[in-house]
Amino acid sequence: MMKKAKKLFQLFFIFMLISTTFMFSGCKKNSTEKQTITLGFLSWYNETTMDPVLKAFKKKNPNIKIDLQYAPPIQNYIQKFQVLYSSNSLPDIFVTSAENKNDVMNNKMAKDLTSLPNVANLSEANKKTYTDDNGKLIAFAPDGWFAGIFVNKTLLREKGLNVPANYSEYIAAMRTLKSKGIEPWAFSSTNLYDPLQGYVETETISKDADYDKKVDSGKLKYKDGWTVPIQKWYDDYVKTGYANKADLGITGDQAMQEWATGKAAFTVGATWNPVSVAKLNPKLDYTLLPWFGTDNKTTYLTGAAGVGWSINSKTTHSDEAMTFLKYLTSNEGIQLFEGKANGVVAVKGIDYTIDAHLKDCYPYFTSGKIYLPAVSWKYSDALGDILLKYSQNIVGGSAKPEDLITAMDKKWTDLEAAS
Amino acid sequence: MKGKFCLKVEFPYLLFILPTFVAYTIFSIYPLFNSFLYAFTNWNGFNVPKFVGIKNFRTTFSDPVMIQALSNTIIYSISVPILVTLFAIPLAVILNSGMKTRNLQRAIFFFPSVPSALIMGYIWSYMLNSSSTGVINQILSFFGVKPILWLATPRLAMLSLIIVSVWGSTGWHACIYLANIQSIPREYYEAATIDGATGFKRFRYITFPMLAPSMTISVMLLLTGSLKVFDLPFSLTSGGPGYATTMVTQIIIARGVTEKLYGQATAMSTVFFFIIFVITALQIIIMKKREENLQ
Repeated sequence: MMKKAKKLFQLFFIFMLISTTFMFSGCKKNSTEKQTITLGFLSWYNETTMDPVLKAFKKKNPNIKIDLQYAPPIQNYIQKFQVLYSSNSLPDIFVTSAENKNDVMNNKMAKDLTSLPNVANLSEANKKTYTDDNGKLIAFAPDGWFAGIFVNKTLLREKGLNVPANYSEYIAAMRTLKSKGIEPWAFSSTNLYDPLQGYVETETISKDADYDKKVDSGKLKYKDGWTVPIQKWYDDYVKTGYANKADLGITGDQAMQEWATGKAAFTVGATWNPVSVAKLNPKLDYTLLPWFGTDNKTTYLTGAAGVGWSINSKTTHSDEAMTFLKYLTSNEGIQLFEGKANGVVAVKGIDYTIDAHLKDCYPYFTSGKIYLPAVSWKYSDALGDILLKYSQNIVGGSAKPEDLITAMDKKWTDLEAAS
Repeated sequence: MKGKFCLKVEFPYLLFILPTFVAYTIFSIYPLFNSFLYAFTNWNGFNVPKFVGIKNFRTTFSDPVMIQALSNTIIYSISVPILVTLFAIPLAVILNSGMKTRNLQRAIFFFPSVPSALIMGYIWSYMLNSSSTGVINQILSFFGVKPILWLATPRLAMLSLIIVSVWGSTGWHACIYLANIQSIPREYYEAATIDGATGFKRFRYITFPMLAPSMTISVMLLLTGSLKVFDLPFSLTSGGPGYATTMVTQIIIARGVTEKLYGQATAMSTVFFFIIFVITALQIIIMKKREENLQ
C-alpha cells in the first residue's frame, strides 16, 4: 500500500514538473523590451586596449553586446582567423591586416565601408591600402606607423657634423664617422634590409607607384625594380662594413640600446620606439630622417596603414555591426582607442600630438609618402622571409646581391603556380 | 579461461576507456588521417582542395631550403644526444656520491631543465650577443679574448644552439641515470672492491652496463626531441643567420602557416613523421639488443 502511494506521488511530481516547464516556455518577454544582440569581434588588440572604447559604446548602445575574442598579432591572429573562416564561424567584426587583406578581398569576406562618416577624413594611404580593385573599402584603419633613420644629433655635433639633408651629405657623414672610429650604424639581424627597402622606395616606387601591381599581374619581375636598389645597398652598407657579420647576432632591442647609449650614430627607428628610447637615454637629442634617394632630391619613409576593422559580409546583424563600426571609427571612438593603442592617427580632425622626435617626418605619413613591401606584395609573408634570410646571407658573405632577387622571383613563381 | 578474451568480463573495462578512445579518435586520429589526405591537395586554407597527386612530396625533396633544414636537423639530432649522454652519465655518478652538498648540487644541475626552452633561448640570445656588450663576450674580455660572433656565423650559431640545448638537458637526463644507478645492488660494488677493482673498472664493468635500460630511454627521448625541435632555434637564433640553424619543423610551419601551402606542409610533415619513426625504431631495436647482450 505504501509502495503504491509512493509511486503515485512520484508520478504526480513528474507531471507537475513537466507541465510547469511547458507553462513557462510559452512566456514571451515584454514586447517593449529591446532584444540584446551580441556581436562577435575578433581583435588582435587585447581587452586592456579595447576596454575604454567598448565600455563607451555599451553606454550609448546598451542593446548591443560585444563579445571580444583576442588573438595576439601576427601569426596567432592569422591562424585563428583562417580556422574560423574555414569552419564558417568568422565573427561579425574582425581585424584586417596587411597579412590577410588579400584573402579578405579575394574571398569577398568583408562589407563595403565607404559609407562610414569618417572615411572622408581618412588618409589616402590608409584608404588605398584597404580598397579592393572594385573600389570597395574593406577595412577602416584609423592609424598607421612609419620608420626611417634615427640619428643621434649629439654624436654628430661632437664630431663636427650636421644632420644630413640629402644622400651625398648622408654618405659623407657615415664615412667621416667611420674614419673617426665611430660606428655609423647599429643594425640588428632583423633590420639589415631596411636601407634596401629605402632604396626600393626612392629609386623604384617613387618613379612607378604601380610597380608592385605590375609584378603581381606578371608584367614585371622583382629583377626589374630591385636590381639597382640592392646594388646600392650592397655598395653603401655591406662593402663599407657598416652592416657586418657582428650584426647577425644582435637583436632589435640590443641594437636600439647600442644606438641610444651613443655607440652608433644611426639606427632604424619607428613610431613605436620613442617610448623605449626615453627609458634608455632620456636626454638623447635625436630625430627621424627619411631614406635619401641617390638623386639628392627624392626622400621616402617606410611605413604603412595600421590594421583595420572590417564587417563580415556574412553577418546576420548587419545594422548592429554598422552601428558599432560607426562608433569605433568616429572621432570619439578613435580618440579612446588611440589612448591605449598609441598608433599614429591617420584621420583628420582628431586631437592628436605626434612625438617631437617624429614631427619632421609626420607630413610624409599624412601625405601618403610611405611604402612597405609587405603591404603591397601579393605573397608578403613568404617574400618577407626571403628578404630577411638572404639579407643575412649577403651580409654574412654566403650569398651575392643578385641571389636575393633570383630567390624572390622564384618564390613568386612557385607560389603563383601553387595558387 | 586465463588468456582468452571474454567480452562479458572485459566489457565494463572497455566502457571505461571508451570516452577517452572516442575523444582521442576525434581529436588526434581523425585529424592525423585528414592531414595526410591534404598532402595530396593544393589546399591553402581558403580554397576548395584539389587533388594534385604526389606533387607536394616531390617538392619536399627538391626544395633546397628543406634540404638544408633536414641537414641542420640531422647534425643537431646527432650532436645533442651524444653530448648529453657523455655529460649526463658522469654527472649522475658524481651526484650519487656521498658528498654533503649532493642535494643542493642535484637541484642546481636540474634547474636548467625547469624553464621552457623558449625562455632559455631568449635569455641565452642576450648572453651570446655578438657585440662587446654581450655577457659572455664581456667575461671573455677579462681574459683578453676578442668578442666572439656566437650567433652571427653559421657554424658558431649551430654550435651555440647545441651548447645551450646540452646545458638545458644534461641535468634532467642525469636524473634518469641517477635513479638507475641507485637501483644497482651494492653487493656488486662490494664484490668488485674485494677483488681489487679500481673506481674506473667498477664504472666500466658494473655501472655502465647496468645503465643500459635508462640509456635506451634517455637516448630515445633525446633523439625524438632533437628531431622535432622548434622552440629553442626559434627563440635563440630564429633559424639564422640565413638558414644556418633552421630546422625541419620551422620550414613546415613556414610553408603551412606563413605561405599557406598546407598541402606542401602536410606532405613535409608526413615524410618527416616516417623519418622519425624509422630512426626511432632502429635506435630502440639496436639499444634493446645491446641491453640484452650487456645483461
